[in-house]
Amino acid sequence: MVSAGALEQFYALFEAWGIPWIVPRLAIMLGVVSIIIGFISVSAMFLIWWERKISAHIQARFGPMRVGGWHGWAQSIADGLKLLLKEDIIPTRADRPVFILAPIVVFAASLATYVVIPFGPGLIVQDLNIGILYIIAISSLTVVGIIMAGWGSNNKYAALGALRSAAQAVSYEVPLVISLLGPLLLVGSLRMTDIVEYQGGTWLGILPGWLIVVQPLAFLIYFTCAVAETNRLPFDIPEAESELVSGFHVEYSGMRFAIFFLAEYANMFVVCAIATTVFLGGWQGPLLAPWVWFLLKTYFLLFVMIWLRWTLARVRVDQLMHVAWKVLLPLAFVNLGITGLLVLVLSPMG
Amino acid sequence: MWRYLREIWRGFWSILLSMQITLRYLFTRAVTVQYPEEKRQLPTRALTQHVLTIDLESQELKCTACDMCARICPANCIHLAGEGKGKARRPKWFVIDHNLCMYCNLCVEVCPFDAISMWTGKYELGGFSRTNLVYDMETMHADGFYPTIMTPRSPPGAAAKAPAAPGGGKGGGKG
Ligand code: SF4
Ligand code: SF4
Repeated sequence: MVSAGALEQFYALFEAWGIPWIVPRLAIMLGVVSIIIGFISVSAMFLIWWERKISAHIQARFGPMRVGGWHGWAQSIADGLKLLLKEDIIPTRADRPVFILAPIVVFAASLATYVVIPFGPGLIVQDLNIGILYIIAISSLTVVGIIMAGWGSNNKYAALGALRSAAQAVSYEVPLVISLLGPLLLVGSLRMTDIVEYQGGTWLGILPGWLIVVQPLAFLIYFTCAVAETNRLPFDIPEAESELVSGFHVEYSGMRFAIFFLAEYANMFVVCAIATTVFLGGWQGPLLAPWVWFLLKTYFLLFVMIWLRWTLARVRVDQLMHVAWKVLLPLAFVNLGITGLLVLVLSPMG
Repeated sequence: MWRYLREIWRGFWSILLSMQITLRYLFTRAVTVQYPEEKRQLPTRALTQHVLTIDLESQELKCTACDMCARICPANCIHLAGEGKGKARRPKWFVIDHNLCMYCNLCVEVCPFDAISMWTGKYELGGFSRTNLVYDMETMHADGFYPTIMTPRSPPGAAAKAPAAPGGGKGGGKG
């Protein structure tokens, strides 16, 4: 966000006033966190409204039309307020601490991934040199939260949903990571800004330098796994309203439920942001400001995700495993192998 | 091996095809009618609230209080009393309890004088108490031409009241 020099000056200012070093750092941290949470909430509310609109129009309906005047734009805000005001119910037989902690874990995991998302040059909270690895590591924590929710609710549907979610996440994490390795081999760095800058030029002088041009298979595998990771249709068997009455969050109500919901949409944004960064050239693009390009591409991918959800039916558990282990994983390995070979053959040091 | 690859390709292709279909529907017009703002045009013969039709020249009720409708009504929800003799006989009071009415149209069909009609297009029959739905002669008194079985179309010079009566909405409405 701010260049390191300015930060140092900011800290030095406080030091000169004799205030302990922790205070300005905490202030900066809190500021960044509030900005991120604000962004997550606004974008999640927009996404929920957008999803309802798209789903409605795909079914030749209108969707929310009343709240807030123009096409019901304030519907999600009203829903959020309603959830805030609702009674917070904790089942008597629930494992209280685990039950209470679960939504926080899920939300914290998705919140932490926002740290390395490059919205634009310099618009990145912390440009870690292991950016992608960090995101993959942190986002798998979501599963822990979901299992906590399923276990803590002391409800068979919740437990089943959590178990399914664990199985799904473990299966899909593998092809997801391997599909990301192909592009990363080309870039040769895990740092998010390096990945984006690598895609600055063009391929053969005409195509944009985006990695999707040379790694289309990896992109498809990644995107499929990303849909599965965020528990969305057609891979929403952990939530499966019709068989598990919403799965792991069946016992949650009010604000805790809202946090799960928020985390789900925040996660959607994260996986699409990674796809944008790694495959679609991140903030690169002509004319418009970099962050506009980044958001445009990310929201386009989000639109595709929503579109997929309202097109496809839910897969069975065995089909789910089939897709992950027998289709995506071999293809990801083939892609990785070919990419590695080509990099070895074509690299100047060869 | 080939089969494996072909099936993956076919799965992928079928997803693309179905996505194309949903995309097409995304841009079709929604069929929803935004009810209080937009109203649907009812067919002329939709059975709705009763009206006691009038003779357009004399502006008098055509009803002669013959009691036929009250007798045939299966729900027994028409009550009336007449006054006067012969051709001058007219209803003194005439009540239809819409809580009970089942919209069977029998009362209309049996009326020998074409004096009652249900083709009014007035379907917004809400009330805050049960007595709100008991309509008396004043409420049901026609204020102009209403189509009936004998005169389904408006006579020259008289504007048709019927389907446009409640909202004047144009069918379908804006997309
Ligand atoms: S429509 Fe049928 S139920 Fe209603 S008042 Fe006429 S005869 Fe009775
Ligand atoms: S049948 Fe017709 S004329 Fe006779 S009482 Fe009923 S509405 Fe009046």
